[in-house]
Amino acid sequence: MNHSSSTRNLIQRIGFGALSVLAFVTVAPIIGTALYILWHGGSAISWEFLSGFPRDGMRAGGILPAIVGTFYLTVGTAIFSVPLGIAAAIYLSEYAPDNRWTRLIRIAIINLAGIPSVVYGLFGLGLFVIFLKFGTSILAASLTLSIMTLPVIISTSEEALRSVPQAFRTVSISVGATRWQTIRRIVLKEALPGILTGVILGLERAAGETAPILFTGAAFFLPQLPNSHSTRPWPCLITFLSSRRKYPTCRFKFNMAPRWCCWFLCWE
Amino acid sequence: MQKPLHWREIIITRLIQASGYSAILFVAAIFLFLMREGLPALGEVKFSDLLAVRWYPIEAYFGILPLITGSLIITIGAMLIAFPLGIATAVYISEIAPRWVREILKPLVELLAGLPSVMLGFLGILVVSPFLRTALDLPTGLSAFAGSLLLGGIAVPTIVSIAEDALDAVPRSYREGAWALGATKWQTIWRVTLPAARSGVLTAIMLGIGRAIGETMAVMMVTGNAPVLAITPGSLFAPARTMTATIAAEMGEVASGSTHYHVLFFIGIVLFMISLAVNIAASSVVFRAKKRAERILS
Repeated sequence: MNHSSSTRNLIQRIGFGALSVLAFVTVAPIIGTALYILWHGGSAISWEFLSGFPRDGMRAGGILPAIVGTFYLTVGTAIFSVPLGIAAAIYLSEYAPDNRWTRLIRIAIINLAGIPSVVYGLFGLGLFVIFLKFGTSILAASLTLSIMTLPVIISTSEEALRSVPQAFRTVSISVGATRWQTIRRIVLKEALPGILTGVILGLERAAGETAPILFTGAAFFLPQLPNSHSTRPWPCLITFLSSRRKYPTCRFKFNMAPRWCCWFLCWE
Repeated sequence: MQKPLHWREIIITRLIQASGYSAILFVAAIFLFLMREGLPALGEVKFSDLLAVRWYPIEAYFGILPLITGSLIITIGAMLIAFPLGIATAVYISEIAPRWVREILKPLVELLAGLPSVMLGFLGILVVSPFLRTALDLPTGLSAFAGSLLLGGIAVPTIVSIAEDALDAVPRSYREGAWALGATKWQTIWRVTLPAARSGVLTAIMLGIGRAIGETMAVMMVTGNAPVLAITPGSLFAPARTMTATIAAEMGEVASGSTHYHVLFFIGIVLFMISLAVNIAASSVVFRAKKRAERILS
């Protein structure tokens, strides 16, 4: 502290100024992105665009098959990952002893969360598409995505379960409930909002992912609705976007972005 | 308690336990299947050829070195952007910002975290790379630097939220102690709060790196995808290609069971190993810090 107090104040003022500028630099592109999308794509949204089928090799028409594809995929992912994820969270917060195995489970979850999404795609291709012979299908893609969303659901749900006060459990058990009854009727009920947040966060990640479904279940172009759950390839909003290079008509593709924005605003 | 209830209880407990252990099973399964499809590559291509500098699968040149250096240089560039921005934003949000600014900034950063990366890549093509081409006078804006900019944007939310948690967890008494000794707010942040949150900040950076190196679609769209060896700083402004983009771009067109297919899975193994190393390192930092805190407090 060898500076005089005025120098110190000056340093503080400069430092705070620099930090606020940096913070602004971080958020400015976010606001810019949102405005840019709404400005350029907002006018393109119409009922016909949302409910039509693509025509002319995806140069015109609507994106209904893509929306339906994404919907199937998200529901499929939820069916597999939500029960498994919540059960794993219950195990970790209510049953698991503090030993080496539990630590191993935690390390496994951290690693699942960190594995690059394209590696999930490879895994899905190797296990579900080729080894289990599901073919490229909604089933294979949903299973791949559900393993990918598992860590998000587990860790958020576990937080929610842990935040239920211990006294609730003690009281429930002291009036004669078994451990499972306590969890099901008291703890789960209390933790429900937190668990739902985790589920939404996880499914949001699934609905926005592209790389893992490229090899496991995506079709670029499909003029009808996807109608079979396991054999027919299905289209997906996301692959529409990423197939941009093959169909370079920008105008049509561009309309995809605002759709996503609405989608995510709804989620948040 | 009646008997049937008792049995149900045991079965449910077992099921829940099995779900808990399934996480280990999945990591093991991912590892096994990557190995099963990727290890044959070592038998089909000589290891020294795999480490060569030429990636041209059509003529059976499978040198993955340009892809590794491409991933590295883009990740390093992304970290140079995301690290100062992320830490500064975290410090600003948790220490300096008035309440109403914080209420605006936090959701915005979370919104960025929720944007699908394809969408960012799409904007990257339309906005970022033309801008770079004219601003920096490059032959093409589709360069490693464009990838770094986008990846920086993708890694920032991860870094901000974890670093901010770490800063929040520093006990208030630390700050009060520093103020009582006559330190300014700035000195307190710099010499007390940040050092105390060191391990959390380190974890934030590592997980940011993990996020950046594993990102696929956004980089694939903006980096130009030229598999050239990137070892000089100048190659940051040239097209580059990452491991992830290579897998995503080529896996769709490859015959399953061919050498090319096996090599792509081999790249997957390399990526898996990198993410494993980063995550285990990150969690061991946290673990050590927790141990130290327990020792001090007890």
